[in-house]
Amino acid sequence: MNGTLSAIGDSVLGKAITALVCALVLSALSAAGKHVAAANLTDMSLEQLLQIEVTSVSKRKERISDSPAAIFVVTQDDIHRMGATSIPEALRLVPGLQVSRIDRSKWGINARGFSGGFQANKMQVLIDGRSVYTPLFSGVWWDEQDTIMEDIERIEVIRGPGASLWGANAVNGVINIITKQAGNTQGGLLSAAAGNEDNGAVALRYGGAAGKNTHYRVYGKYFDRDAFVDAQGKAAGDNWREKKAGFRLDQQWTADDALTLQGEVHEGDVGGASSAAATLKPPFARTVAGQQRTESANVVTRWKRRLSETSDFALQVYYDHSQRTTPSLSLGWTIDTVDVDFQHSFALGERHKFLWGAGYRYLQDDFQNSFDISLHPSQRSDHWSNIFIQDEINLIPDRVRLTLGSKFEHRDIIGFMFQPNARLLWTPDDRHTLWASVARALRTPSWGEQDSRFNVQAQPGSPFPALIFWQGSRQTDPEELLAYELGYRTQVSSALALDAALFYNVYDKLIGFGQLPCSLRVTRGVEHLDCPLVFQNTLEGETYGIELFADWRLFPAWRLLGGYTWLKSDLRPRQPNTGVAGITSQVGTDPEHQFFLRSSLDLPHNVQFDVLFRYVDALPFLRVNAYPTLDMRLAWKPWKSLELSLVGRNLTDDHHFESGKQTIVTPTAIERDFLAVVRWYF
Amino acid sequence: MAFGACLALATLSLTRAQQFSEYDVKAAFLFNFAKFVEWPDQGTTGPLKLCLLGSDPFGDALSALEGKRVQGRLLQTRRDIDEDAATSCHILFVNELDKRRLLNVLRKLQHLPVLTVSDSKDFAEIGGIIGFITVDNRIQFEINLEAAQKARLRISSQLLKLARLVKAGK
Repeated sequence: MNGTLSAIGDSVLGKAITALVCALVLSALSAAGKHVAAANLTDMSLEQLLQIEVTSVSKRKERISDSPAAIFVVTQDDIHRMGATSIPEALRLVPGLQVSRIDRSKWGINARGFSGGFQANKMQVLIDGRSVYTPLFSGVWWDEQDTIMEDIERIEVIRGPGASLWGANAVNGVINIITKQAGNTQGGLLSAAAGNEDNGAVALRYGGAAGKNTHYRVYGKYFDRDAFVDAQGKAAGDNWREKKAGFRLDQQWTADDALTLQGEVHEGDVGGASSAAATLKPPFARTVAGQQRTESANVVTRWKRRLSETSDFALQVYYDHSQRTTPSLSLGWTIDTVDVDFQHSFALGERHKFLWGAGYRYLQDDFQNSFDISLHPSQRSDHWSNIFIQDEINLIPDRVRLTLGSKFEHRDIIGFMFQPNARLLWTPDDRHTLWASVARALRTPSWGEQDSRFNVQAQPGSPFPALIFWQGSRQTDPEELLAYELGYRTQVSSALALDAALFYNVYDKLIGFGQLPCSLRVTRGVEHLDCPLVFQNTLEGETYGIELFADWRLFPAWRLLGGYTWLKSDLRPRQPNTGVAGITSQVGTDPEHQFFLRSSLDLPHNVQFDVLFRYVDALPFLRVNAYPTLDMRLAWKPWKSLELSLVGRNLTDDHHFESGKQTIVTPTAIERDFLAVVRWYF
Repeated sequence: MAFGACLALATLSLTRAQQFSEYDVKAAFLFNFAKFVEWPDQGTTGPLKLCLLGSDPFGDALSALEGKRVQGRLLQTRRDIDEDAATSCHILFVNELDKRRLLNVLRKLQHLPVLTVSDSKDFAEIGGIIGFITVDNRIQFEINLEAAQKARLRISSQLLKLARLVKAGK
């Protein structure tokens, strides 16, 4: 290197000068480059223009700027460019969402708190309109929620309550996974991947047309993922294998009627690190393997009809079957769901836009009880029904809009629930959006919280050992949230957009545990003390925080995205000395600070280079240290139909934990992982 | 080191990435539309006005068209116009109005020689003349011929053969 240059480069002043010169040169070049690009484009013929691939830009975000909620969209481009191999990985790109990976196949995902554990239970999650949170513990088995990643159109995430539309359980947020219409997945796709943590993954899809107005796709997927490691660095036994097959059929029946039919079958061998289970004989604990087996199937059909220019309706019916067995605990269950949903929107006069709908869900479960975990009764069926109405009122056309709405829901055991919200949107001009909202949302107690018995721990004692167990109670009320939000979005320039949201959530009747006196009991011929911890509405408190996001396209070929989240929670027993505070999974499980920076770069010769850096603060209750981590992807498209990519994840360390010790599952350490991916379109 | 990084970035911003931004391409389409549409005031020498109604998604791409010549006429771009001013445009790109406002604009312009273009959903179906759609990351367009005829615009067969033709769905 030239001596003078490096001498200048090494002094502080020199660095500043270099940076300044650099910035000037770059801005000049980028301006020049931009005009060159635009000029070249106008020289192209229509035929050429039709063939050009475009990057999807802020179009959708502009629509989002009209939304009076903290909404964020992960596009197919985002998913693709980060090389996400599962839906939870794609959700890491959402600012304000806490995504902690517990082991190979399990995640705890929540917005605005209550996230760190497996039982993250305050989100509504839908895939193509099908609700996928389990009534068993109100959380999501993320290991079952999968599809061909390339066929996801977008993932919409709303932080904050969405209960007025989506109903109970849409307390802290809604995740809406939307797959592409069959007409947009025509032709073949073969995607294959392998790496040091992946023994192999193959996805195959073929889309075709049957007549002018009918499109279909069929697909299959298989993967075999290697185990992560335990704290000692040994393989933890959480290997994960999955087989999946499905189809989607879309028909434009008439100019106004669109029909969709889609379905999927799934089979998974889900490993897990072994954990300790209670036993009534010395040493009062036994080790049980974490292996589970899952099977599921679903079919969804939807009819959308346009009634007029300002009115349409949609009718959707689905059936979902899922079963899961844990051989080491002799445990298993099946859950069947039938759901019917109807929606109708129409304008009334110049100022009102109404949306109303009704829904009914029938759930049925069959639980194979074991010593460790059981449901009483072991079979139950639930009827849930709801209606909702929402009015969007243009107080000042294009400037101020008020949205009022509520869901009215009825569930067995719980009764009627009322979940209203009011949202105000102000767009002083095209570049700025301010919004504010007040909303109420409820989380209904899960079947586990109502009916379960779960033997958590056995303790030696004289003359009798004690068995501590969780006990469901049908007296438990829904958890209540009253949420206050403020948001601001601005399009500073065509290259820079900023988004900020503030929230203050007031919770009441959060479900924790109450302690009841022990009683003497005989189980399997052993006399012991039976000591229940009963699910009760023992907690209350507040969470509050700030979520910031910036999207900056520095050059046409370089985009930077950054997000920062600050989150505080202050939860306490509702009456002193009633809540068994230390046991609840709901306190101290969230990072106070979270930060990410993503760089998305287009290089010459069809090369893409993407980097995601994340920093997640410590989770004190789960004893998880703060960690920085780095993912990268380098992709090359030698031909239009072929893409080769290399993905590296968790590059900063050999392994780290994202979640900590909790009941039911044993977390494993996420390892550094490299993946080679081939994608062929035919 | 620092200079090295600076140079790498400079090369990067110069080399044209294979993917274009959506609105750069759409601007190029607008320019092409101007070539393949005949307005009733054909033969006059006044400027050909390309207007934008609603917020600006184009950035610099629209300005880059300013001053170009099409069919012997100077292309003039105008932003920040209101609905009344839109009646004097040759090409009107409509961005992101709510559907009701969109319908009002279209109703107002339906018998005027204004080539309405938008990427709003179902734009050509609801009475717009050219609607952009994105299929597999590529920009395609739909033409509503009936609406073009009402507006007394003649669309060249070169444009028509590449378009998806749609009928107004009422």
